[in-house]
Amino acid sequence: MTSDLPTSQQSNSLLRVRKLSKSYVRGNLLRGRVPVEAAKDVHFEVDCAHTLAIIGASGSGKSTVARCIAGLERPDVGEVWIDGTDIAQLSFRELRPFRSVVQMIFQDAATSMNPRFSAAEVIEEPLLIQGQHREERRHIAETLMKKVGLSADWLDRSAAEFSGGQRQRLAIARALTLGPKLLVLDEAWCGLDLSMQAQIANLLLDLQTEHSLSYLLISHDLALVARMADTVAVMSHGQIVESGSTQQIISGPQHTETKKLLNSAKAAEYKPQLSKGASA
Amino acid sequence: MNYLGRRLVRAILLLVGVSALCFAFTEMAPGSFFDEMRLNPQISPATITSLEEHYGLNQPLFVRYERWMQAAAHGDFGYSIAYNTPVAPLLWSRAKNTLLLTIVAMLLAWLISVPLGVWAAAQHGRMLDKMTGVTSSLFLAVPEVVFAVALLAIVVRWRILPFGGMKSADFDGLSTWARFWDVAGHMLLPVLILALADGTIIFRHVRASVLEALEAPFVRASRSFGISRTRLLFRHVLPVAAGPAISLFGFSLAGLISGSLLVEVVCGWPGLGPLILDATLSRDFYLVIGGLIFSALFMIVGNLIADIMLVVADPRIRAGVPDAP
Repeated sequence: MTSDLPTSQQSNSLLRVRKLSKSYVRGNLLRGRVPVEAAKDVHFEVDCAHTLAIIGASGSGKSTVARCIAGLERPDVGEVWIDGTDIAQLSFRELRPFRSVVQMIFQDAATSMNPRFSAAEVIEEPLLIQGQHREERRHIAETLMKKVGLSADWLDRSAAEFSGGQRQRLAIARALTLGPKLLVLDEAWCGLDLSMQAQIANLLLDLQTEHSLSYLLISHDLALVARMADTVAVMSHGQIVESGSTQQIISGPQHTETKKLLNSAKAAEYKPQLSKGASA
Repeated sequence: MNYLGRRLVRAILLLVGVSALCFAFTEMAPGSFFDEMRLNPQISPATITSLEEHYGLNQPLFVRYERWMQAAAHGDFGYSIAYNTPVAPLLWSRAKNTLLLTIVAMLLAWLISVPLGVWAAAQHGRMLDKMTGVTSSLFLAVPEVVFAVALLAIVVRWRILPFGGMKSADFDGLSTWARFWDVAGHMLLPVLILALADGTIIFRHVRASVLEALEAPFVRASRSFGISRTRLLFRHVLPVAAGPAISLFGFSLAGLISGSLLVEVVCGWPGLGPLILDATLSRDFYLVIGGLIFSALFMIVGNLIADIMLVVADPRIRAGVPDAP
């Protein structure tokens, strides 16, 4: 766990996060400006074609970490190594080449797409900044639609006309447009029913095998975590309090926070599904 | 019936309602055009009675309203007693000036406030945004009559601009180009007052709606793809923010017309304002009603145009999609 540069390039890890901290200023009339530490000294790595799940209660700082890695926020201190480059302090312009490497899928697929756009426009938008031709963009969009299990004939439909599950598939298609290596899934199952969640999980597992994708899974749903993740990190009050293989964490939790999470989710029920992709 | 058909029917019903209220309220106001004549011992009461009969003012209100409605349907809005001429051509000659004033003021207000509002929203929280915010609050708080009088005082003291009326005394002897500049010079002050009042409201609305759109999750999602700020603003934010701004257009036009009546009186602009004021003071019944109907017409047409523009801008209103904002 040394933070020197060469190791990050030698090791198999795609993403290395070192000492990442981020605080927000929250203020009101009575107390004035109070800094809130959303993430404190966070360390972890994600290997190629592997899945790391960050679990934790609401407000534990999971989403903040996700947003810092997706380049939506700049950490106060710390390093975010992606493909051998520290992107933590890059400017908006300098970040551009790395946008294609890391893509984020948001909590609510419905609001993460412009309702005035057609499915084609939603998927093709990331390609615009790369200056691809119209036909080329269309071709990529058609391929992606089929890949996520949607009909290519629906490309001209408005994004608002898709159902919840279809929209999540559309969001996945959009995230895949630029050929990323890492997908950040921030509570991507929010608001979907169980069978739909299982379908999306299967799709993501298939895509992972096909494209050697890495996933950073932000969730509080332990059933899905058990199903998808190779390793798990538990966050509490902005810090990672425990990490290890999924098996390890679920069968022998050490930290009280982990125990609490497992108890509340009745983790015992999910143990049979531990092996990754077994029921796919 | 389709959307526009419904809006059109609603507009006509509104106009009928406005005319009924105008009749009722004008009738309730005390006094009549002939009251001053009654005080004059040289005019016999018989003459006044015959005059009242001549203009139909002795008839009951309902009869007059019915006759007026029938005539109005054919474009005849009654007869002005003071000017001794039909109301419609008289109003139209003045309404042209009011329209000229309000349309120029509206163009100026929108052309300045919309880019300014978008810019202020993009600068959210910085010094310049705060400064424009404070300035616009100040302009909102001060009534436009106060501005009108203050600006008029400045113009009169330093003689920067021609003031009063619409044309200079030697207007007829000027070349076409010089006439244009003469009218433009006379117009500048009232246009400035109107545009300032209207532009402030537009600025604040545009800024608020752009700010809201910038916070939308899909805008942030698009940002995470590295999409440039310019494309975000023009392709994502502005179409969303345009809805509230277009709805504002109708109100803005109505506000301009009513504001214009006042500013016209202060600046001596020969529009509907001074005409309606004089007609009200002398109780020139049909001219007052005609003037009110004209103002209402502007407002209703403004809202109708805004509705049509909204449908063009947002197809979801036409389709009746339930989650349309």
